[in-house]
Amino acid sequence: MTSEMPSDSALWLEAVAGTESSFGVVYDRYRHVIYRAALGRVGNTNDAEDIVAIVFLEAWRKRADVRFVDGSLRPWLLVVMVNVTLSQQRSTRRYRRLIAKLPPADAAPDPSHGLLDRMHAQSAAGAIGTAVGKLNGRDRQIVELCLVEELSMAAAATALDIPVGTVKSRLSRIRQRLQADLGDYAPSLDGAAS
Amino acid sequence: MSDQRNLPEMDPRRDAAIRAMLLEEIRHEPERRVARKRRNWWIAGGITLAVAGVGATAGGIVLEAQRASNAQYVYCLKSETRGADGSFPGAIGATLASTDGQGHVDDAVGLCSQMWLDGFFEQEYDPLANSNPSGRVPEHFEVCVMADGATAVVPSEKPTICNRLGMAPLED
Repeated sequence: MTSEMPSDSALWLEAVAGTESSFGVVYDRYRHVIYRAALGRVGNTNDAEDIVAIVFLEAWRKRADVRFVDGSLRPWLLVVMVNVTLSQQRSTRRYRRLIAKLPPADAAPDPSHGLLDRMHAQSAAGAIGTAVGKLNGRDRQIVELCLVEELSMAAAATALDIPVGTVKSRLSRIRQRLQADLGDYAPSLDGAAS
Repeated sequence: MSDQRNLPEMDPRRDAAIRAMLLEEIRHEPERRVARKRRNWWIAGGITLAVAGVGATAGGIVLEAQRASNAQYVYCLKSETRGADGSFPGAIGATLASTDGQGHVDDAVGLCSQMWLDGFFEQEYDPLANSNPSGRVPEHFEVCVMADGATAVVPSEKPTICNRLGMAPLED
């Protein structure tokens, strides 16, 4: 065998078959990816950590719908993350009991949190976040996969289970809209390859 | 638009607590308790494993019969074809629990036949279901040896199938 690292599909199959520790390995492998993506969306660490917990709970709940893109769970987990943040209230309600059991964030206020929020609001990232927030759910999924995570359109199509042509046309429209909305803050939106 | 900021890490306490919470939730799911009791073998996602270490033989190269040097697991192939990328679509790696925790298989054809009978290779197989319809066991199997020394059981009656798939035939 060429590699000692089990594949995502092997870990998923093991977890579904009864080896929950394999799901722990999946968590270890992708929690940082999901956390950073969530942090970019919500702007504070505590909420981002809650989202990580909810994303993996949702991924488990919807495990029969899992999709691997080039053998990787990452794109599908990111789709789950986008869906969780889109319906954050409902997701939080569903898992309120479990989230409440997690240790609270440190009591001492972190001055960087407020600073981060202010910087986020004032920066180009904040402007982009506001513009993206106006998009519908599907478009936000495509932004996350193609523009933020820089996955190919084909990979995004697989993760979302939609035709690649749909991703392409939506992405084109998204780019035009973001360019129009962002004005001076418009970053390079060359984004995803085919 | 990749974010290159130096973002804060997760709180280690919350990270550990989230991980523990996830595994606890999964462990206590009622339907998984039933599935866990029923299983007497550990199944690994086999497609990647089956690909690893198997080099495609160039046209004309014939591998001599070999003994299987690795009895920890076997590969049960779903068909006698390889994908364009060299993989074995639908193949499953399987083993039986052993006292040393490593897994051991004495009867590869028997194990794979049981998996066919249990419906693992049927289109409608549902790993989450409490039970699945029985499957049809192929009439013929050929046993091959993969590059990692493990046995591969191929549903085929062609004596040359091992070489055609890039594997050595099992030595009698």
